[in-house]
Amino acid sequence: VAVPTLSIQTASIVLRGQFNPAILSPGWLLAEGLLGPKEALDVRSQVILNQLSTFHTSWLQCQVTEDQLVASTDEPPEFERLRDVLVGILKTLPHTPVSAMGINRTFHFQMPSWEDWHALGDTLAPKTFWDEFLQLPGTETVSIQGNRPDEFAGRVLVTVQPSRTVKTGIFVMVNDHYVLQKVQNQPSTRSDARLAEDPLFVEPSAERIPLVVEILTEKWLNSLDWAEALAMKIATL
Amino acid sequence: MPEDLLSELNSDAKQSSAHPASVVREAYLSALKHLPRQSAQTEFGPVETPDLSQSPGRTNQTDDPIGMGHVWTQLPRLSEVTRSDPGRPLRTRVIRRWTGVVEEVLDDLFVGRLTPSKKSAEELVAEFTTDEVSDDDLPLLRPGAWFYVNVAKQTFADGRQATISSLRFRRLSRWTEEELAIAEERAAKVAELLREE
Repeated sequence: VAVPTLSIQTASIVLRGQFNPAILSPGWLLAEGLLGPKEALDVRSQVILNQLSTFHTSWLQCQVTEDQLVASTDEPPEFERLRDVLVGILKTLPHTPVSAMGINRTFHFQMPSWEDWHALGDTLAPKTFWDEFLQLPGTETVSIQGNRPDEFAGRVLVTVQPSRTVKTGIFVMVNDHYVLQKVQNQPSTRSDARLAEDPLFVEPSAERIPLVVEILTEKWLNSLDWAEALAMKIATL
Repeated sequence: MPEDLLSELNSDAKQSSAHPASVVREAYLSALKHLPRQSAQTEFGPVETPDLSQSPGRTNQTDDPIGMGHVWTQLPRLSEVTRSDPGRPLRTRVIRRWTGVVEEVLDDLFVGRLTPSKKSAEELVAEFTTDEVSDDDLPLLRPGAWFYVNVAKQTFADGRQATISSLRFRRLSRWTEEELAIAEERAAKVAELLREE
């Protein structure tokens, strides 16, 4: 039986806060010992401005604006070093105000056939209702949000779309979103969830950095593995 | 960053030799305004109803309305350039991983204690030759250093498959005064316990 093939996967960490983009460059990461000499010099593209820094080394891609830092890689053996770079940046710049963090995974699966591809779209979003109103309705995006299962504020958002990169492919994104504050209780019912005051963002503060380090140290691999298992489940629905 | 955006920037920069830095900056900020907002929104934050007519990322993947439809929102692809390299695998999937600590360094090999990422698996002690360590990482090789070992399956464009292992040393930020003080305090406590025994 043909099964979906995982073609491309990425891991990224998105930090919300207040950053000084001009600081963050491959040279700075090298100077701080967070990248090696060869990988810091192997820069595929680089733009460093006051308002924005973006660069791409052999395995690491960074985009930093004044309110967001994104570090990504599409090299699975480097996922743990991606985490180390982020922790290293924050420990080196301990006065950086931060408010929220996303551990994001993306996956492109190649489905065995167009029939399987259509069937998955129809399973996620049945067309019985839509057939009455639309000609040949098709699934563009399905997003499902869930509460966090741990002691942090935030949510988990899963998005499924057709892949624009892989033929007969689907794209799955898992956004493990942490608001950098702990909560007493998570809602246990839908009405609790509706009433809960759970802001997606809080005031940036450097005092939240230990929470980032705690999450990246203790939850990183579990988050990556859980997202991959979920994506595999979706692709094989 | 999308490659076409970079090309556009480079092109704009080349067209003006008067103030290249300011031109690049203006061009970049201008181009940034045209980046698909949805890519940032879906990645991090509340989902908004998108305006499909303004979605630059939209592609006509197929003309047929289908079970899965068109695409207008996805993160920019990483490594567009490097993926076109025929020597680079199409996909890499990690199947086993360990975190290691260097226990002993000998002439051309070192001994490491490996803890698997899966808690059910057992710890290992393994020997590695130093030629498995990249030039970048060699200065980090010393007793107590942390490293990662990954075993991954790679698939190439021509269908070839390979199983590879990679060994990368952890690069941690410098110790802060506070961390050093905590470590020294812990070490002193351990030393005291050992003396009592």
